[in-house]
Amino acid sequence: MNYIGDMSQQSGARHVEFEQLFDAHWMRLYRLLLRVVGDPDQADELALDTFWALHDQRGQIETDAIGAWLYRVAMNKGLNALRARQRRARYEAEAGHLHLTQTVRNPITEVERADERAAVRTVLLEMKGRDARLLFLRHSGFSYAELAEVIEVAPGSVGTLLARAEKEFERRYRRMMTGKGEEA
Amino acid sequence: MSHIDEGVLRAYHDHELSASEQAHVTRHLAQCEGCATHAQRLAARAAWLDAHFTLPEQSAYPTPQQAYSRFVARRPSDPPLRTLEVNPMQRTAFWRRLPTVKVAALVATLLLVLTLTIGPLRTVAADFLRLFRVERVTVLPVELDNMDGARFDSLAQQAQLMAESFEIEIVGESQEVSNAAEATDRLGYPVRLPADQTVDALNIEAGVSMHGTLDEAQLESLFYYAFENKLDLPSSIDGKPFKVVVPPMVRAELGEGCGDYRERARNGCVTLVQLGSPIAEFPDELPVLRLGELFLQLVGYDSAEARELARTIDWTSTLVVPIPSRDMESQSVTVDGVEGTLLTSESDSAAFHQRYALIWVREGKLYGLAGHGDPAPAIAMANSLR
Repeated sequence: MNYIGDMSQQSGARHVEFEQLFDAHWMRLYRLLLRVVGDPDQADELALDTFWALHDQRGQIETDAIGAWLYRVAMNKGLNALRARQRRARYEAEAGHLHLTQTVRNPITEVERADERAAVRTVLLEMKGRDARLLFLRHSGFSYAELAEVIEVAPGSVGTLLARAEKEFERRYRRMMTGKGEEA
Repeated sequence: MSHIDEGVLRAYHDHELSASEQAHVTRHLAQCEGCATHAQRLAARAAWLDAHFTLPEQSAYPTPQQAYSRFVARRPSDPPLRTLEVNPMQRTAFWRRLPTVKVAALVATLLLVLTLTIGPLRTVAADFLRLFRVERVTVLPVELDNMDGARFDSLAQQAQLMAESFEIEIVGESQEVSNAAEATDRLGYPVRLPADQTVDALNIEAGVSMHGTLDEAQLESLFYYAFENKLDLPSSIDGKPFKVVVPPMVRAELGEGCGDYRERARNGCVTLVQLGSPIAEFPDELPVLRLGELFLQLVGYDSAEARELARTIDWTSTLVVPIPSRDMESQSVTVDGVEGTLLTSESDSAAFHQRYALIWVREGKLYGLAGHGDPAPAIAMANSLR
């Protein structure tokens, strides 16, 4: 079934169908991306981009597979954006132009939390892509059946993959924090 | 009493087991101290992770209605990055395509990149030309996640612009042939098939030739956009000719009932392709090593690694095949009397995703065999080619 046509020419029915799809997935998609990139504006932009990508598929995706497709694409966009930001920060740091652009509400706790979230992202970017996706998705509330679809693994292997990814995350995170002087 | 598997314990913590399985694990944990301790450790770790995946503070989330208004109000100024959309599927899509699409298509795609990486080559007729001819295949493990979708996109867009000024011609004619002798007759070199194998389909697929002249400014702009990196090309390169030829390919579907893609794996179908070496001719002044480095950066290596690795590759005669290192394994195997490369999907992939591809070069011809499951019969098949 073709949900999506050209936005400028599509019939009223299709328009409604796409809007329903948007309604059904927007909030979850946005929150997932926010968890990944940590920046509300960027999460918003990436979520809209993801829906545009879906729109551009012009019905090439089976209806049943649209959800998994959306979250798979969103995860990918999120991780790529994160990677690009990290690279940019590195360039800027190398060029001596590093500056803090984030605004903070409660200086001490927000900085600590932001630092912690940044550390989490650094660790996740070092991990296998599948493991990073699995952790973001599971800790955003996706069920095992959904994870299996988005990650494209056998449903029965999700528990094992998740346990393995969590263990690996803890190992890397603690090692990084130990390196920064925090007790492991 | 056997212990409960870690994956099951993890799923138990998330209440993802069926009611009967959940009850079974609960009973087991009451009796098994080892499993109970393990389960507690997993639960504690899951809770600890949950605390690390919090959302940043935000007063309100944009509602679907607000977001949808913005969505319809403007199309994004930059088109969506094609490679980013392709990426999520890439791991499986690579394997899905390989057996069916053909190694030649892969070669053709790679040639686009290879055209940028060919090396200090043997001089051919014209003194200023260098020649690339595949004599060996090397596998380059790449981290798909390190590949930068935006760079690929820029490169593809720029390459497309450049290609508009090139002459592209189809070489040969795609056609079905009835046996190896007919294919041999049409192509002018011996086409080989394995002994004692049913051939479900045998086709010749047309090749492609691309030639034109190099434009220094375009090349520099291509690298600038793709790599944010200035490539100093000698001005003498401007207007020099180049040529890339991917010859016609023979494709044989071995087995029975291979026409239905969904049934191919079940029927044990194997795809064999063979073609003459793709050839590229380029001006001598092309800074090949530097291009090789940039290519390696493009597929995810950092600049230091790329510099070091580029020096170890003989760019003159090596077909460099990037493979996603996390999903595929490669090994050298002796096949058809030469050294070949066997690519297999990782063992922990779901069974229905397991694929293999065997690639080798013999007497100037490039061969590929691809199928599902155990690769051993394919190696035997390759050894029986005649």
